[in-house]
Amino acid sequence: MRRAVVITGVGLVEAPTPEALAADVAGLSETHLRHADRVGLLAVAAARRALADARLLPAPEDLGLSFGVGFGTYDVNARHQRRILEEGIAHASPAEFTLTLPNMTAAFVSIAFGIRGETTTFADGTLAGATAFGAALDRIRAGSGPILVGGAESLSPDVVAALEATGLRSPGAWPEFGAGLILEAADRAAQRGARPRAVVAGYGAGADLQGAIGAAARDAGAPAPDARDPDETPSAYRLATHLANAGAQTLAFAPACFGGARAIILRAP
Amino acid sequence: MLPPRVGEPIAITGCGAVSAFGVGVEALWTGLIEGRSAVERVTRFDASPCYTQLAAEVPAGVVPAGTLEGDRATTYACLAAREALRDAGLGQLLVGSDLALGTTLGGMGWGETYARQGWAGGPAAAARLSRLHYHAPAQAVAAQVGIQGEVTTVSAACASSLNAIAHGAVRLAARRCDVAVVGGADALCAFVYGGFASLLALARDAARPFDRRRNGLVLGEGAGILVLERVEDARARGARIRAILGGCGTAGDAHHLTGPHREGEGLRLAMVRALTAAAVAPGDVGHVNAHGTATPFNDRMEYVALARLGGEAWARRVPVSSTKPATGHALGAAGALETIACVRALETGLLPPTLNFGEPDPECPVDSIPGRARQVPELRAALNLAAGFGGQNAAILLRRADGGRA
Repeated sequence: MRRAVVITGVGLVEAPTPEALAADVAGLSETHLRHADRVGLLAVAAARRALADARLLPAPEDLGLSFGVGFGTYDVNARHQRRILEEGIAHASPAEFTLTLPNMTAAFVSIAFGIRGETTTFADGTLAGATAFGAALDRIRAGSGPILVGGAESLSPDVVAALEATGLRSPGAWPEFGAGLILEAADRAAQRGARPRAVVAGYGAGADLQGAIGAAARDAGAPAPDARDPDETPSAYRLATHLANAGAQTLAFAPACFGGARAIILRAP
Repeated sequence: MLPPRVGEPIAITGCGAVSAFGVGVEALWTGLIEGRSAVERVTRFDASPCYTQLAAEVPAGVVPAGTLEGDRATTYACLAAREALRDAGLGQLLVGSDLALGTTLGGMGWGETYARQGWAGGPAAAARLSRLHYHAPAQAVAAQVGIQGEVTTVSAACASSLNAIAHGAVRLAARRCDVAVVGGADALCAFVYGGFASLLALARDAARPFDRRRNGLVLGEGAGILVLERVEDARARGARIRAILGGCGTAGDAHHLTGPHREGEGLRLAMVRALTAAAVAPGDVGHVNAHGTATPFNDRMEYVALARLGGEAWARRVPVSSTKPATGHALGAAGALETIACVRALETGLLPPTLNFGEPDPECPVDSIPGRARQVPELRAALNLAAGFGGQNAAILLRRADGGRA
């Protein structure tokens, strides 16, 4: 009998003012968060809300991290590259270079909350949050403790302009956000009296939408409820916002910018 | 807390590699076993303003002339993937196969070409955006070899390809796919070289893992790809099982952005998880392929982590190689290349040496197999380690296949 998995916490921050964001991360490892970029801070703020929502603060020892990164590091990558070109290869900034690594976002969350569980970051563009979600689902079914699935995005004007030029940006499709979801085994959630927000029925990945939804339906052992039309919105953001809607739903992701597709089927608790 | 149960044993049925020793697993392995080093002076860009100019580059000619820097990692990954699939006897993959590729930069090894073009919009912008992305090499490999399932990119700093391998193992155990093509790729570029130089992490004279005089790492590049299948499936189709992937573990240090936890807590946890999943005790591990970057902090941390895992006597005794002085630190490809080295070690009973070792360090008193390969025909289990920026740690436990039987 396969272990049922539920979502016990959700955290979402959207385009906070610098003051609001600072307040959201106040008291957490200031020494290290001082070096964080906006994406890192958004992820930490969302993680705090998700963990609080799930009543998992302080973080349990076996809490894992499964993160997705989209375009978040493009800006700092560009700055680092331009500095090397304009000032020379011997004049890179170590603090700036460190931020170009996609896994730094998860690292800030790990440091902020002392998280030492199984940790990984996916970087398959706007699919990454969904991929991270699916990986967490499989690990928990196989016996893992709870996992914080996270993602954050903050696009610089350069990247926004490029996305607009490609026609891939539509208003609201590229929100600035930090998102966190706590996935957990249903029996463990029940044991500690946690209230599930949703049941995770299935996850699927494929080369196209049909393949992904089919795989998710097979995983769920039931036909997929009608999928909302996929758009270019980062998957972590869509997951966090749609969890507010109770009831069965299929969230499908098939960005034009990247190949491949993902589908996640949720049920009401 | 320990992982909840023993993991499903996974077969490694194919390997492919591109390294500073050239194209192919044999080029890599022969270079390692002969105790050669592929480290020279950087030729691809001008590193003369830096305090060092050492690097291990994939030989000229492997990548077609005129290939843009951002596409080098893709080329390496495709070459390695094709070798791995041929090796596994899987000519054409259909539905039922996944790809997980580790990388730190992916398509972002920009080079001057992309940076000078900048973010100009227009019709070329869409192609440029996705081509520049971390995910670009994975997409290209999937298209080339016909992977239809989950195609993803894993970015976990220097542990990227071990994390990708771990993800493939999770997908196989969950019966999400029948074949997982996993590994990593990264291309050397000024972007990365300048970054590591700014951290003063590059060696001035040579990479000397575990040596008292060690002063940093030497960068490399390349790609390593492995084909993974459930053992029962590999046997059913009569595939040659090269080694068994017994268990994988990852962990965060929750300590510092670039320096490791001084007691190696994250690495210790990753090793505990891998060994528990594999049902192997530290004393059964006959060889460790260390992360072994030869930075002052890393090598000391690894010894402490090993000693905390299996006791000081074991940590001093178990043969520990770092192959990075030979191949350079290939970043996203490092874990996969080193896993392939472990596969060859298990197949041959030969352990690759650690080069440039001269003066032992009482702070990390490992048996580093200095200078010359060593025969250990009774080798049955090997542990491969990675520790990356952001405190990302990973460990993989491999077992000998024993003539195709797990």
